[in-house]
Parts: sequence; structure tokens; C-alpha cells
Amino acid sequence: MRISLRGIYRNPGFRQVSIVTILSILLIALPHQVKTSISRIVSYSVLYPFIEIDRFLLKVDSTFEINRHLNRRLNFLATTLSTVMENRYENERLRMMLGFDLMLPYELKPAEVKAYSPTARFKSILINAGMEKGVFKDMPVISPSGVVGKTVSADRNSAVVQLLFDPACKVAARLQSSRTQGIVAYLGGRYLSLTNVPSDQSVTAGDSVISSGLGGIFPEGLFVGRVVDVRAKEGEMFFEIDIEPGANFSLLEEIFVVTSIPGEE
Amino acid sequence: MPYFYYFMAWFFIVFCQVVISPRIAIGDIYPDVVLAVTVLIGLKQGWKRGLWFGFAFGLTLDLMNPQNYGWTTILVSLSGYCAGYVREKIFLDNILYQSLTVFTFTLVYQLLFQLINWPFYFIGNFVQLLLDSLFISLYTAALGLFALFALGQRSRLRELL
Repeated sequence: MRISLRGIYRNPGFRQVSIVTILSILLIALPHQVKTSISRIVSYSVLYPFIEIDRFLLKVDSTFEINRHLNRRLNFLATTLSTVMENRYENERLRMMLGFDLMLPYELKPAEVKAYSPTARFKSILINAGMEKGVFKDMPVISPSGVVGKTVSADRNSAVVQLLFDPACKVAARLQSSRTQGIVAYLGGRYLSLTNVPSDQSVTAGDSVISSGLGGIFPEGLFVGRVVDVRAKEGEMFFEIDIEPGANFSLLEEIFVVTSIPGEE
Repeated sequence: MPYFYYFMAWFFIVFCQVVISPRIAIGDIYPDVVLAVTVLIGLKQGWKRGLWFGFAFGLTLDLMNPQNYGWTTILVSLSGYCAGYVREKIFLDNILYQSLTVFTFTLVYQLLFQLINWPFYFIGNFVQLLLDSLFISLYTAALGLFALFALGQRSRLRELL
């Protein structure tokens, strides 16, 4: 088989490959400085759009990364802030309770509310203090803002508190200004009622109602609530008096159980 | 008008190589888009287009990096030419064979490129570089297979419409 050199030269494939090869070799043979200069010129002209797009996407990438990092940090800080705020509120409540504890002459056992009875109007709560802390049945339960109820049963480490909104819970009370006696009970509706107050007595809205100490469970002088409405019906012996309780039953978190009253054994 | 399409193709492929390829890399393994496209052009449209497209792509990549001036140009151009030559000798209609050709060309290109540019390092770390080149070739072939499949589906859709 004879290979003709002229045939190879005339082959268009060979010619074009040769051109490409020669051009490439020329590029390889260029001095380094020339290569660098050409690269710089080309980078700032022909390849500029690619470099700019690449740079832009790198910026977008880093922005996403920063955004993700900041989001993570924000979530962490939000959780921390929530915890700090919770601690602050608890601190305020405990300070208020501490002041309240020092103010009253009774022996008080602090306790936290662990559960509410699942009814529309709360009738009882479960607290985390029981017989181990000296909490027994029929002990008054109070909060800094007023009487809450009384214990109806106690275990070793917990007790059930019957709230004033339970119709079975009654408190012997009196109007602080007129000293008129009555009984605080829940008869339905939005407010508590002060019953057995004769209609010839003077009662006005805004009067404070305190425990009278006559019932045997609640000591004298505990704030129960404030009169919001007084109604006198024709021919009736007693007023119908609505009382707004001092304690906010839906916001109860920490309470006190009155475990001992001086002078009573 | 065809020059405009050539320019657009050049722009798109260089964009894929420079911008997209590093972003779809798996560790250090990135697909060699330029080589895959050059080989496929050679396989589909013959040695002439393979050679000149390879020259344009290779030159573009060379101009970005003054260290390897000329070598990418000559290797990519020859890959395009050889792919066209393969087309003339063995007609490869099956996309699996075409992607296998892409794999072979990429592997040879990767090994040659490293041998030429860093001969001592290449000999000293041959196994590691061979493995890297194998993975790059596999990734590039897989990408080529995907592109061929997508183009095939587009052609079928056109025929149906």
C-alpha cells in the first residue's frame, strides 16, 4: 500500500487539523508575560459577562448562606427572648408574692398550679403541694389579688383546690366599709354573689368584700372581691349583690395555701 | 444567520462550563461540559464542526487560564476531530454508545491533560488521578446521556406535533 504525501496534504481534514495544531502550538510557545496580558485583556472583554455572572451568583450564594445563618440566629434569639421574658414575668410574680407573704400574719405555703379542671368555667385546680408540705383538706387558698378557694383533697405531693366558682364553695364574708355580713357563693352567671345581705343595709358598687372568718375555714380579712352591682327587689328581704372576684382565675400560676393561722390550733 | 446560532451555542456552552459546572460539582468531581459537547458535535455533525467548535471552546477556556495556554485548545479540538472520525468509521446511533464515547474521550482527555501539565505529579499520584478522571468521565458521560435523551424526546415531540 502506497501512501502519497501529496494526497495527505490535499486531504481537507489534515489541513484543518494542521491549522488548529499550529495555532495551538503558537499559543503554547507564547512567553508567559504575553499569555498573562492576553488573559487579562480577554477576561475584561470577551469573558467579562461570564465572570460577572459567576461573581453575581457567588454573591447570591453567599447572601443565601448569610440569610440562612441569620434566620437560625433569629430563631435562637427569639427562643432565648421568650425564655428571658418568661423568667422576668415569673420573677415579678414571685417578688409580688414574696411581698404578700411578708405582709400577712399567716403561715403560707407557695404552690404552682399544675392543672385546671377542663370545664368552661374553672371549678377546681391541681397544685403541686401536698401533705408533705403540710397541705391538707379544707385549707384556704389565696393569691396576692384575692381568695382563690379551698383545698378539698390532698395527696402526698399534690392537692385539689375547689375554686370560688364551684357552687359548693362558700365563704363567710363581710362588706369592708359597712361591716355587713353575708355569704359569697357562685349562683351562676358571670360574677360571684354575696347573699344574705338584708335589704335595709347600705351597699354600693365598688365596696370591698373580705372574708369574715366566721365560716371556720377562711381567716378574717382576706380580700374576696369588689361589688359591681346591687339589686333590691320589691318585697324581698335580701339584696342581690354581684361581686367581681379579686383573683383572676384564668391567669392563676402561683398561689398560697394558708397552712396555719395564729391563735387557731 | 448560522454564525449567530454558533455564537449563541458558544455562549451557552461556555456559560455552562464556567458558571453551572462548578455549582453541580460533587466534591471535586465536576462534569466537563465543553468536552462532552465537542465530542457530541463531532459524533452528530462530523469532524469539521467537531474540530472548530472544539477549537473555539478550548481557546476560550485557555484564555481564562494562562497556565495551560494552547493545551486545552489542541486537546479539545482533536477530541472533536476524532469524534467526527469515529462517526465516519462506526455509525453510532444508540445514545448509550454515544455516551460511552463521551466517557472514553473524557477519560483520555483528562489523563493526557494532567500528564502534559504536571508530568511528575501525574506519575507520582497516578492511581488517585486515574480515579478522579474516571469519576469526572462518568459524570460527564451521564450528563451527555441526559442531554442526548432530552434532545431525543424533543425530536419525538416535534414529530408528533
